[in-house]
Amino acid sequence: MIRILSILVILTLLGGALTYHAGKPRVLVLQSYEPDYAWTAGVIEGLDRVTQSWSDVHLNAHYMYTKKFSDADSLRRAGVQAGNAVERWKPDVVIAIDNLAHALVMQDYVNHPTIKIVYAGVNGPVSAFGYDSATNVTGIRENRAMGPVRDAIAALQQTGPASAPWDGSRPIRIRYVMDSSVSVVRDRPNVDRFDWSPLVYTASVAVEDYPTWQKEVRRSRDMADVIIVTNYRQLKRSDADSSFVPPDEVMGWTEANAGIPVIGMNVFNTEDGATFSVGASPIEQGQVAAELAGLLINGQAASDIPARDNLQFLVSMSRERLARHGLILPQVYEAFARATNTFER
Amino acid sequence: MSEPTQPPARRAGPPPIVEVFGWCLCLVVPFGVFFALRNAGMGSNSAVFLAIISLPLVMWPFSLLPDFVPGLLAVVMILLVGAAPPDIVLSGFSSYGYLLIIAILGLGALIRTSGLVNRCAALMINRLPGNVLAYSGTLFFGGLLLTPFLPSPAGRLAVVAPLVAQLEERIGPQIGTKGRTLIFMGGLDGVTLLTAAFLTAAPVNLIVYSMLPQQERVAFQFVDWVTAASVAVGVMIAGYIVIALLTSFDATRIKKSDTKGLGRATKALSRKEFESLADGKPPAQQNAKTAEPPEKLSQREWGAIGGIVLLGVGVLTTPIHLIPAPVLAFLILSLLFCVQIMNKTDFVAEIDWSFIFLLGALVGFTNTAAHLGLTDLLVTEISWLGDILRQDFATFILILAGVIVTARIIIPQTAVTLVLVTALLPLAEASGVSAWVVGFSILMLNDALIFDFQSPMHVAYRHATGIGKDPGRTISLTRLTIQRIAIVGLRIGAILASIPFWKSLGIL
Repeated sequence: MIRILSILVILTLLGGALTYHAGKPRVLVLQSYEPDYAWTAGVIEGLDRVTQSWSDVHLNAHYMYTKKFSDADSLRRAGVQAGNAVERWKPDVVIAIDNLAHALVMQDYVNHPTIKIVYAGVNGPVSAFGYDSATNVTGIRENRAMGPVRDAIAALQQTGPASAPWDGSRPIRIRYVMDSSVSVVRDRPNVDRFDWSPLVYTASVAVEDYPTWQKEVRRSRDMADVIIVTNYRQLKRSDADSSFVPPDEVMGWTEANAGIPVIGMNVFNTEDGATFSVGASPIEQGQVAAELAGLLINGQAASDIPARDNLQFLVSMSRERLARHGLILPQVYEAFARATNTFER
Repeated sequence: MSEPTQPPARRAGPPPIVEVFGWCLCLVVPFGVFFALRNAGMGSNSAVFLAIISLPLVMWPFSLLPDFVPGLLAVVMILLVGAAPPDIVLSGFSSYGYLLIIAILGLGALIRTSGLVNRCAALMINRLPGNVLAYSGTLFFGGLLLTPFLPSPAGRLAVVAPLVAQLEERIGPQIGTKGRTLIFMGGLDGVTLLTAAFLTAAPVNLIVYSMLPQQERVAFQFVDWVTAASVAVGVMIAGYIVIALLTSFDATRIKKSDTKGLGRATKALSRKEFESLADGKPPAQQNAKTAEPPEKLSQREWGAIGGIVLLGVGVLTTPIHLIPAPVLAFLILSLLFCVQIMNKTDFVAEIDWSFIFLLGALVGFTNTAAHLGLTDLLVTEISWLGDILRQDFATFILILAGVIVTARIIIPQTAVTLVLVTALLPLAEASGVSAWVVGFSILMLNDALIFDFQSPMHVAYRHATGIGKDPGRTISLTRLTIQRIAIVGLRIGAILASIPFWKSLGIL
């Protein structure tokens, strides 16, 4: 009798626990890159700001490692594994960060009856994934910080004797050098079409390997006064060695050998060795994406939540590298970089 | 020329001179590692951590102490010197893997001691056509069926060995050396051949599972693990049948009356009894007359069946309830305790607690190494191996097989597994290759052995079966050795044959 009673009590308690457990909505964070990539780490920080207060949600994360491994075979594998993760987890909402998560996985879930999608970190139009007409998708766009980068370059001042172009005698010429990774190549037309005036945008060039990168950086000195960069993590060492050159090695060499300032459009470019950078805030991308996911799991329809534009930009700078080029930025930039811990002496 | 018929008896543990040498190395190596690394400019915390870790790495190959003792010693020393925060060093003791290994070993103890396995064995044996091949086949396939349910190869052998002993005792005089070898092999290989193929088949599998990256732990739970291993399983079974038939085919007919009641009257050895056999000590009750089990299933047998069914249903319905497998297994174990089917005595006596402590220590080492940045350093130092792993997986497997087969001649199985998974799983992750594939390959290859002395478990099995006890119960050592060498090749072939399948699944 006591035994039957004890079994009933335990089963009732367990049934209650299981019911509570089963009723929670499921959110999957699908990251295109690896957790130790600076951009992704920023996105995670933003997501955490919101999700730490979620006590009634099953939260899971899957990383696709496509920045570290980006050959065709690795991308295929990353896509299959991420697809398996979605199928296994059967989430109510997928927060998918950066282009490849959408290109390789989430675009197959457009108008899915049970899975809703929140995008973040997408360069270029989301219509590429069929999201413009989808009823289960919302997100935050990642517009490149072209305007703020242009304004910052225009605000550069010389510390020594005045010389062109910093004395205003002629417009400042810029050249965009990038690797051939999917996200930057996709975004390249936006940068090319942007109104850079009063600067002169001379050209953009995408390269496959490190020797070509080095050649283009050296050529840039004759063609421009500033090099702008975004991504350089997928430069093969050589024809014989297909491993990627570490980003700090690329930027270290570039900054030392370009002879002109190297300015990043991602905030972490300075950490790799660029002169200074102005970039979209990864923290904002993560935070807004999590907020939108919160609205979806609370029952709002994705079609009722308009996509948002990014509003926050971060500045990072190296005073020592700026000084090496005989340049300074207005003090407000330095103050902002110090406030966000992105200032290097 | 007469062929050798008996494996030589060996004493347990290393010879005294080797032991003395090992202890001397324990004194020299940690200090040597520390000062060498400090002189090379490594940070003090990292250097002292690696110096401490070098201690178990020396102790394991020399078998100076039980495997878990060097692990615990290193944990305490790392805490003592404060090389890393305690929550990192002790993280292995709070991991899901830790929960899973306790739950699985607990359920395994219940299944083994409930008598359910012997009942099933009796059912199978007594319904077979009476010939040697059928008996050997039954032992082999029965062992395979047992593999996912009893989480220890030694535990499975402790169940099978008395059955083989009885079978050989009753029919041994009627059949030749070849037939006895076939039955000996069927019993042994049935429970050991596919240990790597099931997550729950061995504590060391659970250690590998615990050391996988978080994403892969989710992707390779019970069903996914065996699904990914399925091609290797098919190749191994088919290949094994061919090898066994080529080396020891024997279809001598046996009178049914000779094997009447076999199985039901056989009692599984306890874990302690079986382990004592590995040291050459006779089991206390090996030949004691045992009572036949009752006709009806006992409560404990029902509990064991209930546990298996609940775990099976729970695992298959994970996408619905989303309860992590370790929590699910622990939940079932707790339920069995609550309804008093599982008892404290079996829980304490039948579980290899030393392995559980070892698991906690190892996972803590891995996390501490990552915390100190040593994993990245290791990956950089052996990046050439990472390139091979990434670009030519088949070559990597051949290198791995060469290393393992050579190392296993002098180094114990667990030590080889521990050292290899500690070094190669982070390398696989950093190289963009599935850590599960590498872990599975290590487990598969590390189960390969040629001589009895390479595994105390095999020595115990030989003693428990009574092989060599009298002239009428000898087996062909030559046939056995040929078969074992062929199985080493089969294991390599099974992994290589799985590569296209893994590629199709997106694992590789």
